[in-house]
This record gives sequence, structure tokens and C-alpha cells, in this order.
Amino acid sequence: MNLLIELGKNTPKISGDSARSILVIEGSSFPENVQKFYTPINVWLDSIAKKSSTLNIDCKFYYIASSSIIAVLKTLQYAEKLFGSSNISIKWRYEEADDDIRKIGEDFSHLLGIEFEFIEEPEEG
Amino acid sequence: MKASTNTTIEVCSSRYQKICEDYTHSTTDKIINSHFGEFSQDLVNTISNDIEMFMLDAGDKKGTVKRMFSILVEGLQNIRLHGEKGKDGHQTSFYAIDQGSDTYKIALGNLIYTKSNKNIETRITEINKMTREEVKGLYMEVLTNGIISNKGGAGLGFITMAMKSNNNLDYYFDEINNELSCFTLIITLDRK
Repeated sequence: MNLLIELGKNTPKISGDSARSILVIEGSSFPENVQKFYTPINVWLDSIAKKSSTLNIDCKFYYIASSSIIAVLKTLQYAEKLFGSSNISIKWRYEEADDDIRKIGEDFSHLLGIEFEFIEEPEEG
Repeated sequence: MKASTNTTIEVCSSRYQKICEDYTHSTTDKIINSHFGEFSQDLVNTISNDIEMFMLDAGDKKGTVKRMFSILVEGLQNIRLHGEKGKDGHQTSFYAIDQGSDTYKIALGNLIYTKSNKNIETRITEINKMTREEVKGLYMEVLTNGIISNKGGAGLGFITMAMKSNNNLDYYFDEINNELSCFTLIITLDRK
């Protein structure tokens, strides 16, 4: 089962590739109902955990509201519970000089106890 | 005693006009955007994107623009999630952004229950007393507990706005009656 949530005005594009066991989140995140928005990821993670022992996560946020920060952290914590911290690899991309987004990744890494791969990318637009 | 629709709007409108007068008093300042009334999610999206484009055109640094975007989204979503409704069933609220040569000032107003005034004031004054490191510590504490309320808030709104602005949060409480008050939050963002 693959997962695809298209990019919205205030929501990121989310894609889950079952064959490669990779979850990609890219865009800005400030929906009002964050729990409803992020719940499908947990359902997808449940299905992947039955077939794969490892998971790759690739995130790139341009902007993320505080309620989304907690929702994304909870999603990552759920993934950690299913796969174990040593079986998850997380790439955290951010726009050049965007310290705020990088710091959110550092906070997540600290709270999860998982080392992130931080990737600075050129600004778009 | 319930406030009449007129009283509720008069009190909120009076504060809104006072803020707009203050912002236009100086020749170096101008109001770049304002709104009085309800906020739809679409309006929140539009305002946030319009201000982002305006600031980039005005030559503000990308970091400042992103911090403004963050403050606006947090503030406007706070209004939508936590703003109470008046007797007329409307979420009377407002916002205005003042552009000065050195700072932006963002004023956000909404109805709250008068019984909440003290709690909100305590939360803001506690944050204002904290050092940057202490505010970050509080942020990490809330993040660790990670609770999203039924309304969709995470309790990080004031903390995030304080962190992004790196200035004290100013506020006004205008009591309409013992049930409702107009709460105004003023965030100052340096342009440097």
C-alpha cells in the first residue's frame, strides 16, 4: 500500500513508498486539524511495519506551525515505536540558512534519541 | 449579564481604532495590512502569503520574513481556535500590522472569557520574565509532553511567538462585561 497526500495550501505533500519503505514529507504545515491530517501516516506505518524491518524518512519543511511540530514529533515517535530507533534513518532537509527549521530537526533528534542526517539545500524561488 | 452585540463590537472596535491611530501617528510608520471581523482559514492563508510577498518586496531578510510568517500563522490560528463568540454568534476579532523603519508590530485581538484574563496574563508575564534559554526550555518541556487539545492547539502559541519575536509580548484586556473581554496581543519583530 502506497500513501499519497497531495500538496495543499497549508499542508505538505506526503508520499509513502511501500516497496522502498520510505516516507517523504515536503512543504509547509499549518493545518488547523493536525491530528486528522497526520493520522493516515500512522495507518501507513502500521502496514509497512508488517513487511519491513527498516524505515527511511525524508523531511523537508519550509514552514511548520507549533501544533504541526507536535503532530510530526508524535508521528516520528510512533515510527520509532514500530521499528526501533536503530532501524530508522531520518534525513532532515532545510533551506540554506534556515536555522529555525534546522533547530526543529535538532530538537526532534534529541527527543527521539535518533541521529538525523541534516542536509542544507539551496533556497528555492 | 450578556453583553449586547453593539457593546461587544464597540469595545473591540475601539481598541482596534486606537491601535490603528497609534500606528499611523508617526510619519515613518504605516499599516501594511489590517482586518476587523471573522477570520476564515482561507483568509489566514491569504494574509500570511500576502505579507510574506510584501516583506520580500520591501527588502526584509528571509529570516525576518519567515519569523513574521510564523508569528502570523500562530496568532491568527490562535484567534480562530481560541477566540470566543459574541452574543451574535460571531468571532469578533481583528489584526493590524504596522511597518516601522526598525520594527514590525503585529496586533491581534479576539474575544475571550473574562474569567480567563488572569490566567492569560500570568502566562504572558511569566514568558516575558524568562531569558531566551528559559523560554526554549519551556518550549522543549511542552514539546516533550506533546498534547494537542480538542481545539487543535498545542499550548505553544505564546511561546513560539515570544521565541520568534525575541521581544516581550504586550497585551491589553478590555473588559466588555463579567462574561466577555477583548484581548489584544502585540508582538514586536525587529527588522534588523
